[in-house]
Amino acid sequence: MGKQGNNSFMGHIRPRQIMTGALRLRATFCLGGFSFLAFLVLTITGVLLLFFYQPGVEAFVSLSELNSVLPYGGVIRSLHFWAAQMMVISVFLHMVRVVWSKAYRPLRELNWITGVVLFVLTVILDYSGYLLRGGQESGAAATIGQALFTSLPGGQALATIFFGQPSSFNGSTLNMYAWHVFILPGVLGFLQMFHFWRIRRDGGVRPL
Amino acid sequence: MVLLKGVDLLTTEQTLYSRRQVLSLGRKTLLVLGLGCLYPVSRYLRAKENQLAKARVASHEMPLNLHWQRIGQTRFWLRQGDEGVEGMWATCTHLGCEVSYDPEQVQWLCPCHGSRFNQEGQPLEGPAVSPLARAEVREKEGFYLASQKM
Amino acid sequence: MDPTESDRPQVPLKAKERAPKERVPLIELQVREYISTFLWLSLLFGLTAGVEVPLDTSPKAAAVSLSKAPWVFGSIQYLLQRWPAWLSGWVLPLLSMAVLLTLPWWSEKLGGRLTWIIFLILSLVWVGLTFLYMLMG
Repeated sequence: MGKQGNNSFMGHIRPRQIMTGALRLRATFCLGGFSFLAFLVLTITGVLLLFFYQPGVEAFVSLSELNSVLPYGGVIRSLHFWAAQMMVISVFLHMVRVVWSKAYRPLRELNWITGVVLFVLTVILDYSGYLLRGGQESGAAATIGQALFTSLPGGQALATIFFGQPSSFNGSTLNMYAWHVFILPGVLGFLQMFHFWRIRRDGGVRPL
Repeated sequence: MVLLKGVDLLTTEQTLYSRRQVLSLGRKTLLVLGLGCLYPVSRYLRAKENQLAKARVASHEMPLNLHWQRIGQTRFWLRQGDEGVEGMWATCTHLGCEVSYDPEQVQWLCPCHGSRFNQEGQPLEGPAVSPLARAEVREKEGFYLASQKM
Repeated sequence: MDPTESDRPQVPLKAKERAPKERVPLIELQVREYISTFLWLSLLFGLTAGVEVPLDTSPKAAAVSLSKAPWVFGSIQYLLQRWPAWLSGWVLPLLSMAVLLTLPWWSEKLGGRLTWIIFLILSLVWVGLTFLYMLMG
């Protein structure tokens, strides 16, 4: 997906020549690449959403203004939503494919573990994005998450760290906002780079 | 042997030709897509460029007199004029700093470059040369509604 | 079963370069990547244009009687409706994750086929629960 020039940075990231087997569609079904593509689309649309979305009490109002009043706001939000759903699905299918072609086995187990962590992070990001809507339904979803944390010993502290102080909306979106737009995507992006580097190092079917 | 290698290279180059075309078509399409997104994205980001400032304050919270008084945390100042409530948009006409009214000197002072305006907002001392802008004020249901003029 | 990935020996780079016949220039792969990128993008734009993403109910509106969880957490919601919270909210998801993380170890211990079956059952159960929750009224 990157540009290939002989002197460019991308040209050095990937090898000049690849194994013939890597060309076969059923070797990977492009699922890992699709996940990364989704991540790129999510990053771009997510940054655009940052310009108008307001966490906290204004969350629902600002989102509904963004969605229905601002020019192209609904399109950007819609792209963000669908890319997120497609990312969860393609990451999952990518995992199934990796187990199917036995690519998780030792020598590559570290990358498998990284991949599982990436999958979990993707699902949590999808959930936390839903919470940012700040409506009644997402408030209920936040309450369930909060209650699950509170049921742990010492979980009240964790619940406060992740979900913030409960408000009239069943939970402020401010803390989730910090997690959703900065911390989780940051960790996800970093781990992805590690994941890709390991593919090249371990010699996956497609050299990155 | 060398000749064979050369032939091999040639045929590879030939099969590559259409691949190259596909690749450059792909890049161009991505570029066009990216450029095509510029307009919607800029429309989206500029959505509020023409938005004017507004403020609201309950009239009983703000008893007016002949001196300018600020509506808290805004750039709107109100006073009782001869023909009803008057509003001032306290922004220096030089480079946009927020000016404030000093009732002792009966002057508007700009903190940035030292411009001074008289009570009516006419410039007294440079670098600003044009008068301060008035704001529109309406009185409605016990509230003063102030808004920036175009 | 795709043999290319599993059966290929892990050879160091230098050894690979001695067998140039199996190799093709990267551009062959890039062309396919571009094509699939555009297919994926058109699916995304199609979904965006075709299916509206709803807003939630405003927090100021009357309270909603039924609140659906987002589909990613549908399976956990389904379990939460039936079993105690500690079991369906913590033990089962964490256990499944632990099995996933230790999959390379299981394949050493039990062999590839059995590991595949374990993985398949695990994912089918979670996917099935997700669908069950989504299809429930």
